[in-house]
Amino acid sequence: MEFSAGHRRYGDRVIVSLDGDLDVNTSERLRATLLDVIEEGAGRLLVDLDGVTFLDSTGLGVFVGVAHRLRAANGELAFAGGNDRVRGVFHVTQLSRIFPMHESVNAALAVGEPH
Amino acid sequence: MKVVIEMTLPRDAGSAPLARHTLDASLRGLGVDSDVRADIALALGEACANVIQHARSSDEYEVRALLDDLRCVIDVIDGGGPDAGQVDWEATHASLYAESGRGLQLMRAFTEDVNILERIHRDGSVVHFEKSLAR
Repeated sequence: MEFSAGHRRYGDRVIVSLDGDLDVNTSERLRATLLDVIEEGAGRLLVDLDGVTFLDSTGLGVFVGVAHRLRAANGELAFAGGNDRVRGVFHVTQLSRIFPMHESVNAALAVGEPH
Repeated sequence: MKVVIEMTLPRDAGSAPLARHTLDASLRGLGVDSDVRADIALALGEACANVIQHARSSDEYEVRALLDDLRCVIDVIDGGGPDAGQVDWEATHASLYAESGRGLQLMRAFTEDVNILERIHRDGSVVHFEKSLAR
């Protein structure tokens, strides 16, 4: 499935919704999308994974790279939603230990201000 | 029953979803469970991504899938050539904060008998994995 993305502001956070496959074919567009959002001034990104149909190590690599960029600016990258497979990929690679993983966007927003 | 699928693919990024979807359609046609298909698609995607990113000297690569009632056996064969790049994921164990090096880890988690054979005479490599289809 082709990749697409949208984003919206919520308080001091920006929620980025991703749809489609995050793989070697879409990773550069994914990186450009997230860096554009950061360029616009977003420091706290919440990535909604509910529309993601496929996620592999190249997609994960983009997230790690973007997280480094955000950390350097005291920002944060967190994730919400995602099907069992997508979440499983985070768990197997232990990235679920370094990224906040929320059940859903609503659950993430309800957590309030962790930092 | 036995099904053999062979694909010769251009070494560009778009070939990865093409290979995944082509194999997945066959597995779906054979009635393979969606969880098992997702495991195979992930591993195949990782193997293709590795060739696409690292086997810089070849323009094409091959995917061979052998399916029967019990197993799905996949080989992803890069074309090699005199300047074939090192398959750099073999020795890699991803640090938690590294941007790359998770492909093999994911293949091993979701499929079986994962191994990488260097093809000494042709410089390329064969990435092999299997998945049980038994229900």
